[in-house]
Parts: sequence; structure tokens; C-alpha cells
Amino acid sequence: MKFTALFTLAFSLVSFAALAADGPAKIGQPAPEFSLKDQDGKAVSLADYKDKVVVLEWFNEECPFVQKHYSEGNMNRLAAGYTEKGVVWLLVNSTKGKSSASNKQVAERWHITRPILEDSMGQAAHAFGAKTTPGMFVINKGTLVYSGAIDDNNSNKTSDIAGAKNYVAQALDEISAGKSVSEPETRSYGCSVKYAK
Amino acid sequence: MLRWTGPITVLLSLTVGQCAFAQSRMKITLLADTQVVQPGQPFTVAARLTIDPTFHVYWSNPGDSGRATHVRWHLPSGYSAGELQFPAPSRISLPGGLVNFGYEKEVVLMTTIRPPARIEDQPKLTADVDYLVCDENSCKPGEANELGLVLPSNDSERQVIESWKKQLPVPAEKCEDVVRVTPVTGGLDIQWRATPKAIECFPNLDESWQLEDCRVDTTGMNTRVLYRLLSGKVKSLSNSPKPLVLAYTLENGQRRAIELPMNPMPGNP
Repeated sequence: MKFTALFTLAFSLVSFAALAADGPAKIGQPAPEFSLKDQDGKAVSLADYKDKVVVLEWFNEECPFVQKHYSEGNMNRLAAGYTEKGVVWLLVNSTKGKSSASNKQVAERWHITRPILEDSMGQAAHAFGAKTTPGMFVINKGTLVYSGAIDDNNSNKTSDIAGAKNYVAQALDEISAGKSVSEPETRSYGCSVKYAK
Repeated sequence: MLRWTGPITVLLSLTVGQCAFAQSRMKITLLADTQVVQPGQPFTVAARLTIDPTFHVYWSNPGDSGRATHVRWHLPSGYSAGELQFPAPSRISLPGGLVNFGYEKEVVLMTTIRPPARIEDQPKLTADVDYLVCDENSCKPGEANELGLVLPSNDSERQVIESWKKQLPVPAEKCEDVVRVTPVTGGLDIQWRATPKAIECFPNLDESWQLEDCRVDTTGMNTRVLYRLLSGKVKSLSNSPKPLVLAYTLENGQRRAIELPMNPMPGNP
């Protein structure tokens, strides 16, 4: 157990160092690798899903813009619709001071059944260039194909979700139709990722 | 059903005649630069945001995170309001290398009001302010609705407006500090009349483009401004028409700002 943790840490540091030189992940390039613990302490690696479509959702339950998408279950419903079709949807919590235990508590409280990955030292966030919560990335078979906002309405009101254009749904629908992603890069909105440093 | 545990924004209901909105983190008051409204005479109204230490609010381009402050004036028929005028922002650094563009301590967001050629009574003017106020640990959105402007304004209100007007960006061609602006590959060259200090570049946002990585390099009387137009079709969330704002400080310590056009051939420096 201890060995695994050390190995994971060493691996993350190595991959982070390698990426820092080139700057954060770019559209059309291989997505940065990571291995992080979910809310049950189980390691989840991006490499486990190299043949899949993966959504990464930067998450912080204390952010009002994240709360907007959870207070009436919108994000959970959106994710469920796609995970049923085989999409892998992972949350990443890069907020300083958060732990697998605190992620487990919020998963229970907010009825989140997807993995919430603990990245409180911010390595994965830096590798992807995550700036905000919510902040969305879509990876198709290892290649980064979308980075940006969840939708095109930057308000913090849940009532504004219905009329907004959801960029992630658009990207996932285009991928499943065999098309390329028409809007691969948008400006994400929300709270800053609360980096430890 | 999700039980709500986050902070709840409480809207204060205001009694008649009161013009201030106060909450933890911020206080909002409305100001004007006129004692009476005269037919056909434009005047300036403003929302003054007094922000608690360590917190900040946002410019029209909030930077890496956050959201622009909005002020919407409700006017009687026949009146019109110009667009919200943002003074030059500051760069606010956050952990992780993130940068916000916004205001700490205080900002005055102005709007020009044009009354009709004929008015019967003094108008009732109210404003809604929609804001996000953050520090490096947390963010709180809020709105203050139907704040009332009280006229006549007093001398100190007018002085506040006058001093903040000096921080509004002016078009470079109308600025006495600038000799000329010349497009170069990937940016612009500015020739100054006297080289200012602390030159900072703030890229704005638009529906059809987004500028990033704005850098300034000053040699003698010239400043080169280089920026990158994000590749691909980038959609932004604001529709401000001012491509670039360059803020600088004069020898006498006064901070000013100019608006720069976007070079139609921005290149990729």
C-alpha cells in the first residue's frame, strides 16, 4: 500500500515535470497521463481508458458555479446520460486541502456516483492547464479534443442552464457521430482552481 | 433532492431613500456628477463598489477565472444610457500561476445618461448591480437590485467621479501621452511622448476573438506590445468591443490607460 502510494507520487511528479516544460495540454495532442485516488482510495489512471472517450470535470463543491450545476442535479443527469453510452466521466478535485475522505463525503451528499479524483497538490490541474471550476476536458482515445466551459452561460444561476448551449454534450455527440469536435476550445468560466501553489 | 449547504446570498430589501447596499465583502453606493438633471444634458452616474481587504471584483475580461461586474440602469422613457465604463483594471495573482483582471479596495463603474430634450420632473433612477466577489480561497456571487440614486449629488460624489474618470481608458489616438501607434507582426508599437512606468497590458474579450499572452517590452520611448490570437474558433462570454487596454503610470504617479485597436494581422509571436 505504502509502496503504491510512493510510486504514484513519484510517477505524478515525473509526468508533471515532463509536461511543465511544454506547457499545458493542447487540443489534438496526447492528453497528459495521471494516476490519482478516487473517493474510495482506489487509484484511477487515464491509461486505463485509452480506448475510451473520457470527460474530466474539474470540481470544487464550495464554488457557486459548481453548485449551479449540482443544486438541481443537472450535472449528474448529464453525466449519467453519457456514462450509460460508455463514456468515462471523472471528476478531479484540485482544491488545496481536500482529501479522498472529504471527496467521499461530498459524493454522498450530492449523490455523485462517478469517481472524484484527489489532486490537492494540483499536478493534474497544472498538466491540463485547468483554470476554473467547473472546467471541462474531453479526451478521445488518448487525444485531447475539447477544453473549456461546460456551457455558454457564465451565470451562477441554475435557471440559466436550460437555455444554454452545452459544449461538452455537443463534443460528445459529435464524437459518437464520428465527426470532429466543431468547437474544440472555449473559454471556461467559474471560480479559480484553488491551487496549493 | 439535494440539501443545500453552501452560503446563501441574502438580498437586502431597501427602505425608501436609502442608496447603499452593504454585505460582508462589499458595499455599493450610487453616485452622480450632477445636482439636477437638465433636459438634453448628458451626465454621469456610477456604482461605487467598496471592497473588503483581500477581496476583488472583476473587469470586463475577468482573466483566468471569475466574472465581469454588471451594472444595469433603469431609466424613465426618453432617457438612454451608454455602455458601462470600466476603469483600467489591476492584475491580481492567484496561487497556481493564475491571474485575474479586476479591482481591489474600490472601483467606480460609470455610465453616461442622456435625458430627453424635454423633461417634466426630476427622474427616478435605479440600478441593478450583478457581481462576483472573490479572494484566493472563495467566491461569492451576488446581486443588488433596484438601488436608488439620490439627487442632488454632493461635492464629494462629484470629486470621486472626476478622479475615476481619469482612469478610464481613452483611444490611443486621442491620448496626449502617445505620439503614434504602428502595427507590427504579432502586435503593435507605441511611441510615447515621455516614457511612462509600470506598463501593463490587458486583453479584452469579444464574441469572435480572444487575445492571450499579452506582453510589453519597452526600450527608450517605444513600447512593443505582442499578443497571441487564440487559434481555432474561440467563443468568449463577453461582448466588449475594446481589444486591448494598456495601463501605465506617469512620472507624477498618476495611473492612466489607453485603448488600442487590434492589429488585423496579429500573427503568432
